[in-house]
Amino acid sequence: MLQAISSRVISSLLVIVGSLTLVFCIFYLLPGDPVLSMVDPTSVSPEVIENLRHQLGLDRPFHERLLAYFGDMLTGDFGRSIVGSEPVLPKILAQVPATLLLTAASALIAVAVGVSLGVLSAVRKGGIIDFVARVVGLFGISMPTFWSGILLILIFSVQLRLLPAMGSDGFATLILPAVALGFVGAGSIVRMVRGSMLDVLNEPFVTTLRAKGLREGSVNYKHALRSALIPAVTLIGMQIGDMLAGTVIIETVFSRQGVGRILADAIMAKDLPVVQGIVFFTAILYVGINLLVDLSYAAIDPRVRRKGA
Amino acid sequence: MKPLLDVQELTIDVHTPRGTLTAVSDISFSIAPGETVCLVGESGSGKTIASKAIMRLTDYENGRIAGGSITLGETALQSLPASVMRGIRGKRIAMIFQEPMAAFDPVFTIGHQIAETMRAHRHGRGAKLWKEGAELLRRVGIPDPELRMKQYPGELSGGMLQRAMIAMALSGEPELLIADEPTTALDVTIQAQILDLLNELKDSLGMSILLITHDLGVAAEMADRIVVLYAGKIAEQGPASELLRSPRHPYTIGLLNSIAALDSRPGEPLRAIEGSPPGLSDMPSGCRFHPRCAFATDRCRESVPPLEELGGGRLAACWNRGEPAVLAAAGSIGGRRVPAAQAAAGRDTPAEQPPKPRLAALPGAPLEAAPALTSPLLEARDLVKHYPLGGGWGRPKRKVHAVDGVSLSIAEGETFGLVGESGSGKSTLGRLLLQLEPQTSGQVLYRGEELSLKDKARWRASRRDLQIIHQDPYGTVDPRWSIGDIIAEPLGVHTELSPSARRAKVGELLEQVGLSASWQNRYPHEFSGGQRQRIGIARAIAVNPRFILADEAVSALDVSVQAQIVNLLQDLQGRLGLTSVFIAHGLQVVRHISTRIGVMYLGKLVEIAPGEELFRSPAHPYTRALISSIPGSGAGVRESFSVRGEIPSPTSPPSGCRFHTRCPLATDLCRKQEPAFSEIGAARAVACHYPL
Repeated sequence: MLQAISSRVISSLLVIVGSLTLVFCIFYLLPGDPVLSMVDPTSVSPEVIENLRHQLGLDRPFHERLLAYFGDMLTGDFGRSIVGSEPVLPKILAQVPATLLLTAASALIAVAVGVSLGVLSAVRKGGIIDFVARVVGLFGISMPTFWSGILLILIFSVQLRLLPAMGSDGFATLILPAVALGFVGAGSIVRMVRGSMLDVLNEPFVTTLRAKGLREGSVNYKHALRSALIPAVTLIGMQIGDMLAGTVIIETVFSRQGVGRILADAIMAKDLPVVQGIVFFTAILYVGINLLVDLSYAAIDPRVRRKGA
Repeated sequence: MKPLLDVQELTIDVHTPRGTLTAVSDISFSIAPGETVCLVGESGSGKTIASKAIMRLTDYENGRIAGGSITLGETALQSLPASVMRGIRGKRIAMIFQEPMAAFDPVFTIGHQIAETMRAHRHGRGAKLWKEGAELLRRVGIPDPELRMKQYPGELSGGMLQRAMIAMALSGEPELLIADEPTTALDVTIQAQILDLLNELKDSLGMSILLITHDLGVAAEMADRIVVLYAGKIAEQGPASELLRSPRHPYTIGLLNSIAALDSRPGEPLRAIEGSPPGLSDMPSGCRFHPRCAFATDRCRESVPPLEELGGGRLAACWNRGEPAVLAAAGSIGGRRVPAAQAAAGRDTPAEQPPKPRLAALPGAPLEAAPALTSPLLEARDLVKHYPLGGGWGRPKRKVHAVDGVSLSIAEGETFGLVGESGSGKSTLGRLLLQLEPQTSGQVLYRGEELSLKDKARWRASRRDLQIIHQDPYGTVDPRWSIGDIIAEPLGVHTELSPSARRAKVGELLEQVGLSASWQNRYPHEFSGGQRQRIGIARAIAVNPRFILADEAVSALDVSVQAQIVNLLQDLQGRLGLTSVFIAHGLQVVRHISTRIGVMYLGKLVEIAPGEELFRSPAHPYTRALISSIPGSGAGVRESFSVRGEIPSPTSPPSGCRFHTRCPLATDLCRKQEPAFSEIGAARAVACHYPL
């Protein structure tokens, strides 16, 4: 078990290093000059621009810049924002709680709605719940968040005036963005759980359970659900990652504070240090979520547990 | 005596996308307390759904009890409310299933699942139930029951799991145990152990058993009474011994004849029943067996024969029932000495009717004369195949010793049978002989020259000569290809035939294997299992190979269809002068078809002998144990020579003689020193310190 975890941690580190390198390369290859977005080239002399470039290390060769970049990361120095020149790390950390809160709330909605609706629709196949589940599944995976977000604003804020359309203070402002973001995840989770639950209910061991005289509740929710969750957990992990990525759009649509929001701004301004810092932060979260997924496998499926031993 | 279970005129419908079909119509039988009744039938006979209906498990599937009654003691089960029925399941009637691996929930421990069954029917403290569970495991012969209780199903072998399943079934102290093909997925040695266990439990606990099986040998061994089902109706029922001794229904007669029994003469065609069992959606009119029956008359085609009393507790549903003349005729007309292919000619079976008479009857001679005279076609020299098991991260690297030093030579024209339990390495050896995968060490010689995956050119050329027929007729043909294309593919690889010549050749091949030349454009899903196996055979013989490996080629087929394929293989082999290796776990079939038989155990060849001799006087204790575990071969033999336990893991084979852990005759010498594989007479060799 310990072995399995340690090998997971090592591969996670590789993922983080890989994603950081990738971001660096993308920005390196991208046309355009960050210095030119910092100063107005018509009013500043070329020497000043050259000087600024040198200060930022932009005139050094690729490998030196890459090494320096990793060196800085290791020492916790994420540099300063090119645009606002404030340190990157505190700037990001200040926004992390808001984004995490949104992601967690969305994930909660996605999992709660997705799993319960998926299971019920499989158990009562062909019934009303099954119909609702299929509608949720269809809309969830086919509606982009910026559209469902705007739709929610129109209905609940503009028409019904029940919930605030924007802002990021208080519980009320969290509801609409979390629903918009969670709905996407719920759509895929419903479909997956429904399908895998139906598969499990067709397994021979379910017949054994019934032949033993167990109650249907025990057959469905104790036995079948546990096996059905095994493939669903993978998907849930991926969905949470997607939701984290989705905050970029949702935070913009609902004018919320958050990492996604500053990421969007930083990309527009080619603010490399900020983008790198956020990628670093996101990669760690992503990898952490996947690690949790792997561990929860072991909790659900004893076969995984024993294999590691 | 008042029956424990009484089934009257039971009819079961199943709902399918194509509408409601009747799976079981109008069957009646009863089980007395302490009695074992066997429902015998092939695929589609309705035996499994009938057994599920008794438990009302059909409620949860697409089945529905459409008529009739099921009475347990005084209780009419067919109309009980679901909540009351639940109290009967697992308590008064318990059930065990075919695939023990699939019948346990993989994510709960054995102990949890047993305790849960008890808790469903009575109150009790967890610790007490757990202790009782362990006691039950001990009762069914599981060593280390406390440890097993804590293990998950994936950690136990199939045989152990079936025992655990029986223990779980016993936990409610049932009056009736329904066993649905409980040994079909297990090796013969384990099958024998499980059947013995069931018999012993039945006697000591006084419960009744309803055993569902396709295997008349199992039925012969277990049953007090046998009910033969065909296409959802009862064909015949009666006391086991009389029914087996003098069957009355042509289907029962055919089924008994199809089995390559120990007393049939090897090399001779089996008396197969033509065609295959009908599907639910195309039930024949009148007597459902009439399209496959040699004695069908107009009356059989038009009206359904009633199940009639024949006296002595026997019943049969046949218009010709009990007519001795008709049945005596069965012996000669459908007879042993007429190849099935001929018997089939001119009969209008819709399913597998050959377009014209094809194979001539063959003399048995070449099969017996060939081997001693000719040179070896294929030779294995000290073949070893180890599969590495993932080690790494400081864990020791382990390996599966699949084949561990096998030498053997196969003479031109012979049929070499290879038997052994699963895990003995027989399929791996087969693939090595064909060089479908590289060996760890050793050599394969084809016609005296080394054949190796490394010599690509020679290897590729050899593909034309060495062909294979697989076990699973469903998985080994591409469903998106027409059968014409499937059979023509090797022709495209190995010959220069023009497309039109290829088509003509495919047509010829189809007729050779008993299909119609005009079926080239059909797709695999249009064919039954037996027909698909014929397609596989046509593909294998398309390029005129010299050698064919038949890896469990008939194991997946219905008994009545098995005999057809065995006959076809024997026929083709004689006509085309093929040499072959026939791998199977069905010992009788191997004996029937092989000139020599090799017995494998844990990667080693332990005995080689001419087929007849091997069965008459096995030299290795393992061979003897295998033979005596054939069901229906007489309990007396088995008592005196049963094999203990299960085949050990091939990752760490036992020291010395690998069989010593299960051998009743093992001594210290066997534990320490590996016996050499040595000759013990003409064409016989055995690896045992104390040959029998």
